[in-house]
Formats: sequence, C-alpha cells, structure tokens
Amino acid sequence: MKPGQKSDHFIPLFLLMIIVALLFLHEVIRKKIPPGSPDGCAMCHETNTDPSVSHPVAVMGCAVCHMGNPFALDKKKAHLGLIRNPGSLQVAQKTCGQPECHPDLPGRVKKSLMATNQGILSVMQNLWPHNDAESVQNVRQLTALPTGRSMALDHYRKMCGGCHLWRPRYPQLGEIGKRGGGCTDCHIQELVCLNSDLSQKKFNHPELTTHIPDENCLKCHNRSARIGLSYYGRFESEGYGTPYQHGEPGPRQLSGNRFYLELPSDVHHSKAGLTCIDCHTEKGIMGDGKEYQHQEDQVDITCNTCHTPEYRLKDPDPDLTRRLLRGNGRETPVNAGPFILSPKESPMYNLKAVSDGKLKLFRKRDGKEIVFSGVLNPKIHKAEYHRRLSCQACHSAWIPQCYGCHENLFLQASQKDWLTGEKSPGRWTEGRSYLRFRRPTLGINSGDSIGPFAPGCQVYIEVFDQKGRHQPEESHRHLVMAGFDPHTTTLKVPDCEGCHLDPKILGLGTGALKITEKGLVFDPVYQAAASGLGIDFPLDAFESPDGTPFQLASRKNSRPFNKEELDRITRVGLCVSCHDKYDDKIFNDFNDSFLRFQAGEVACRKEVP
Amino acid sequence: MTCSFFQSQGGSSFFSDRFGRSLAILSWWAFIIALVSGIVLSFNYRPWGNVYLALSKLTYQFPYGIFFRKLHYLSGQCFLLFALAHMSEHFLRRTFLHMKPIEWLRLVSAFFLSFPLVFTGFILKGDKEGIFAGEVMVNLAREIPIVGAGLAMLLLKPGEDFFLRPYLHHTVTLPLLVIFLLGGHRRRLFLEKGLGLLLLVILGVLTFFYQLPPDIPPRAEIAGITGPWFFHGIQLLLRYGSPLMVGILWPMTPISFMLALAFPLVSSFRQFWILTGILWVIHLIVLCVAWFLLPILAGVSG
Repeated sequence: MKPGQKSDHFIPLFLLMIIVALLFLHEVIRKKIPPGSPDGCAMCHETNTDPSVSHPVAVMGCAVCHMGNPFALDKKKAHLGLIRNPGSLQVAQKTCGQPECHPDLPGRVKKSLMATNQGILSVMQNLWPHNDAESVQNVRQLTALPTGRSMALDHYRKMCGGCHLWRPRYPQLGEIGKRGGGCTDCHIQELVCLNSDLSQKKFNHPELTTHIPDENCLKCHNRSARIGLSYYGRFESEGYGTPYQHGEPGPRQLSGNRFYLELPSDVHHSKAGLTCIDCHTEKGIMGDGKEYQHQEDQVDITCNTCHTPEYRLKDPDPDLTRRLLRGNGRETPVNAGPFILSPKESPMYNLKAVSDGKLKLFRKRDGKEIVFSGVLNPKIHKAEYHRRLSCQACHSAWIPQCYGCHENLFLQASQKDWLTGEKSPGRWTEGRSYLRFRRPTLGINSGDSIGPFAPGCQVYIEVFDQKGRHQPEESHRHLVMAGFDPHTTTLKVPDCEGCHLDPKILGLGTGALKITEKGLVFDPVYQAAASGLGIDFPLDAFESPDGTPFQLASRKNSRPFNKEELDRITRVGLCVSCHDKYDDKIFNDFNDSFLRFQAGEVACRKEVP
Repeated sequence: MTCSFFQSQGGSSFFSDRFGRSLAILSWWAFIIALVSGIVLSFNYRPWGNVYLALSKLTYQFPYGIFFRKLHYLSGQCFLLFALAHMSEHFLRRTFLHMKPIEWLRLVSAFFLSFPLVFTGFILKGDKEGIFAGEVMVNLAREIPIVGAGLAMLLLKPGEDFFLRPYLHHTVTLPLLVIFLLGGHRRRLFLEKGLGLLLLVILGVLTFFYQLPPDIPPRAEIAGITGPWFFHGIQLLLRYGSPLMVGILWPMTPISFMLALAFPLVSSFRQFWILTGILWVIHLIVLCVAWFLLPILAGVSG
C-alpha cells in the first residue's frame, strides 16, 4: 500500500457507509408485503368477499387471474399487463385457461356457438343480401375484417352483434351492460363490482359460480325464439303494456321497452323448479371442441336423455365425479354408478334411477331431489305410426310467433356497430306485423322428425337513401319458418283432432279446413291480398293444401308437410273423432282398416263430412 | 484531496493513457460488483418453476432484494458500456499494432463475451421480454449451418428447463471465461481499488433513484416487446432480413474484423482498420435508428 492511499479511499468509504445506512433505513421504513402473501395486491386493494369458495383470495391472490406484477408495490409496475376481466375470451387462455387451472375450456368455448355466432351469421349470409366475397365463419373473423358491410353483415353488426362471448363487458346500465365478457358472461353471480371504485381499499369482488343463475341465460335468450322467456311462461306481448294498472302500463316489463303476458310456464319450471343448467350440460353450452353451424348440433341433451335414460357409464372416474359433485361447496348425493351419459358423453351425475321406472334428479343449484317418471305409456309413446313425432310436437303448450319482420335501413343516419363500438353509416329499425301465441305449427325438421315451427324470420327489408327516399329496387324479402324447441313443455297434450284436423298445426294457417273427395280445401282468416305485403298466401301458412311450400325452412332438409303427408294426416283425422284411443283396433293397420272401410266391409258409426 | 485514480501516470499521451486505463478499471470493477451482487441474488433465484413470480418476489418482498437487483443490473450495464468504451479507445489508438496477437485476441473475446453475458441476464428476468429473448437466441443459433442445432441445445432447452442453461451460462460459463480471458489484466486492475470504490458509491446512490425497466408479465398482451438495448438493431433488421444474415453474420462481422486485427498481416493495412471502424459506425447508426423506429413499429403492429 502506498503512503497516503488510506486517506485517498476515505471519501468513497465514507459515502459507502452513508449508503449502507440509508439502505438499512430504507429497508426498515419501506412498505412490506406480509410473508406468505400470494401477492402484494392486497396492500392497496382488499376485497370483502372471495370470488368463490374455490378461488380464495387469501390463497390464490389476485395476480394469478388478473395478472400484473404480483409483488411490485409501485402502481405503474404492479398494473403492467393487468386484466380487469380475466374471463374475457381475448385473454382467457392465459387466465382461466392457464395450465394449472382450466386449460381445455377456453379453446372449447371459443368454438362454441355463443362465441362464434356461426348459426346467426350463416343463416343471414345465406338469406339476406350479401356479397359472398365478404363471407365469414364467425364473429371473430368479422371483427377482424375492415370490410364486412353487406346488408346481412351490417345488420348483424348493428342489431345482433351485441350478444356474443367475445364482446367486452362495458360498465353500462341495464341488460346490455351484463352481456359479453367471455367466461364471466355466464360464470358470475352478481355484478356488484361493475361500477365499483377500485381506488377504495375495500370492495366487493363479483361472485364466480358454476351454478349459473337463469338470469345469466335470460339476459340474452329473450329475443328471437324467446325460449328463455317462454320457459318462464312469459309471452312477449304487442307492447301496449296491457293490462294497465292504475292507469299506467302494467309491471310485466322486459328490456327494450317490451312487455309480456303471463302464460303457463314449462312444466320443468312450474313443477320441478329446474333451471337451465339442470338440463343443459357443460358440453352443450361451452362446446365440445368442435365448431358447429347450428345450435341443435351443439346442444347435448334431448328429452330422452332423462326420460328414456341409458345407463352407459359403468365405471366413472371417481376423482372427476367427486370434483364435479363438490363444485362450489355443494355436494349432490349420488349412489354408485352406473351413470347416464348424454349424447355427447357427458356423465349426468345428478341423475339416478330409483325404482319402478322412477328417476331422481338433484337440482344443480340447490341439490334438491326431484323424483320424476321416465316415459310412461310405451303403447302411446312407442306407437309405430307416431315414430317420427318429436316429444315437442305434442308436449309444447305454445310457441311465440312473431309474424312479419320489417327491417328498414336508413342510409342518411348512422348507428353503433357492436363489433367496433363506433358508429357507421346506416341505421336499422325493426318492426313486426303481429305477435301471437298458440300451439306450434308442425313440420319436418332436418332430423326427419316432426317438430314445432314458428316464423324465423319473415324478413321484409326496405332501404331509404341519403335523402330519405324509398328505394324499392333495393327491397328484399325472404320468409322463413324455423324449427326449434319452444321450451313450453306441458304434460297435457291435445286430443287427436287437435293435431290431425287443425290447419294451423298442419301448416296451412289459421282458418277453416274442409276435407273433400277432391282434396283439402282451406279458407284462411288472413287476407293476403289486403296485407300489402305482396304475398298471395297467409303469413302464417307454411304450405298450401296441396303441399306446395310457401315459405323457406331455416335448415337444409327441413320443410313443411308435403301433399302425401297432409293427406295421410287428415285421412286419419276423419276417424280420430270417434276412434280416439291409441289401442283402437283400426290403428293396428290403419291403411288396411281404411281400405276395408272404403270397400264397404266396415261401416262407420258417423257420417263422414 | 486528490484520489489516486486522478493522478497522472506520466507519459506523453496523458488523456489516452489515463482515460483508457480508467475505462479498463471501471469495467473490471463493474464486473466484480455485478459478480458479487449476482452471487447474493443467486441465493434466492431459482431458474425453474414460475421464474417471473419468483423474481418479482425476490425483487419486492425479500429484504434488500430491489437494491441488489438494481445494483446487479446497473453494474452489468456499466461493465458492458465501459468494456465497449475501453475497446473503442484501444481500437482508435490502434494499440493492436503494439500488442501481442494473443493479448488482442483475449481482449476482443472478453469484450465479445460481455454481450452474451448481459443477454443471458436479460433472459433470466423470466418476464415476457426475457422469454422472447431466449426464444430468439435459440432460434438464431439454429440458423447456423452444421453446428446450429447443437449450439442451440447448449444454449437453451425449450420447455420446463427453459431458464436453466441460460442461468448456467450467466452464472458460471461466461463469467469464468471473462475472468480467464482478462488474464494479466485482472491482477493489475485489482490493485486499483479507488476507482472501484467510487463506482460502487455512484451505483449505490443510483439504486435509490434509478427505476428498473418494468418486468412485463409473461401472460400480458403488450405491444413493443424488445430485447436488450444493444440487440435492438438486430431486432429491427430481423423484420426484413433472413435470420442467418442479420441475426448471425451481421453482428459477427465487426467482431471478426476486430479479431483479425490481431494479426500483423491484416492490421498492417490501414484500410482494413478504417473498414472495421466504418462497420462499427454503421452498426451504431442502425442501433440508433432501431431505438427510434421500434416503438413506432410496435405501435403500428400492436
């Protein structure tokens, strides 16, 4: 060491000591995250409630779902990459779907119909004025496209595009504010946090649930086929608000200034108190990993799944069973297998055989036992001549029928595009001819079974140019009848004549039906010529008495009854007013009985009209 | 009072001798500080599992974690910058003409290794940028003909052990190589404690004020992910050129030219020295352009 070197180092050493002292001081006074904390979020944000029993904040923390820098206490660094809604499909694979949590679900959900809207898009692109070059498979593709402005897609963007899982959840009031948000669209109990001030230290976290409340389904499924409303016995009325109360519109109000009338609800609701998730399985709702074009392809349940059960699952995975049953802290009591499998192989752990053809279903939301029967009266339900009848054809009490969908496009105005959130030129308004409820028209659906049909949709498009002038050359119309399950199941079914001789049920429309030697003669109530709609058939007629279709069917291979079928049905109709028992001998071989009757071998007790 | 490092060593070129030596001393001590702070950090760093989460915990929850991380980061950057300045000073003074070839080769090699040393440290952040950097590194290595696949395996193994090999290189292989290559340097430089102490003081003070660049959560959707600052030029060029050309040959060319200067047959040509200088200047220009353009391009694509 050179002389003087010690003093040369004095200043740096002294400064170093000051730094070390400051360091100690800083360490003592700095905010510290308590040991064992999963992250440091609670230093600023403290939730009063856990998201759910299976997502405890004290154990999992916040960053595991909401991301950000888990231990940084500087706001900017801590919030880097933060996600307000981890359920959003844009990020779900990294949050809900991270490898340790639910890795297979986001991929499936993204391919499900509620995320793709493929059914709506494909029908609209097929039937509405559309440029094929702009065709898309799903809403995600459409969102990414700068184009997609054909009449079909413009209407989708502005009128339909607010209801899909990719839609971000906006802090808006009313029903519209509750739609969208990916996983959270369904798996959230209450929106208490929607407008919470997170700058407050304490707040209530929205409650996550696998026991999806029906309100979450109804916030979207209350228009078009309106099955959510129908299940609860609510028929969307004409909008007058009648019956009035105290001189004001009645209290039975729906979103969008709509009103409803109370009708008989679905028996699964009125008698058993079942909610949507009691029937609809997770594969049916969240998809099975395949992209389907229509809801009937994705839905994983039929009446027979419960009422004519097949016990196919003999050796269920005990871990999976336990996990599913104990979800959210409620254990549904079940005996050992075998279990019922849904058509898409979903184990129905909440469904068990009891005895004597009885079954027991445990409601998913509260675990309550519901004892019910399988299909009774095999003679009736397995009758060969009714083999094509779907359950809904007879057991649907009513179906909402919205006739004449009048779409007006005003090019001088603009309207919000749900996919971009921005206004774009062209404003759509919707109106209808009239609404009715009654038993559904029947027809042949794509599975070659006979099922309920209702208008879906009878579209009349009128275009008005920049100066508000009607452009008749751009007018367009297509009338479509759609087959669907109305969700108004009833135990009481109509008598034989109620179907075989009711022209409305047969698809001819409301009116008087005569069966003559020359064929069917039908006198409709609806005066097409006076309607101003440019049609020469009743708006509620699916086909003519000679079986010529008046309207399109919404699915390939689905159609109204043809002439042969109409003749066959009505021919039986002549006999069923007297021969009204399923075990009547004439039905053993009806054709033979009818031939014998025509040949005069058998006398009829009643004069044939 | 005058500290020893300000005292003249005599000689005709006062600035060059003193300045150049100071750069070497600073670079060496920056390396030592980085080494020691790195050893402290390694007690709690684990290159497996959720590295990002663990590093966040290490930084913000462990006592003095943020201090040692900042010190490690700043000293590492100082090491690289002072080594760059030291090398540039040697290059400009053409000291390679008076050095033994092996000495020049060792110096240039040590300088070259400082880049992967800092680069592997960047990967070990475990954040989105670190993961991307690791993936880019291994993909670039694969582009090298014949030995690429093997080299890539040596550098990084994708999967659960993603950070393990970069960790080994950052903590063992590369530091040992640098220490070895500096050879006689280190014995001389160790004696220059004064400048080292001053550097430690400055870095110590800086840790109170300097904010580390944010660690971007691996799952975050954030545009504008970039590599370490010296990699930005390559990152920009990779948008337009082939990985082999702009990711391997482009950065290796000036380094190779520098190594070639060790040999009298080459270094005797003044034009070669000028060409090497021009190459470095072009690299610097591309780097500056990249610093300007990358955020803009990220905004466009993001």
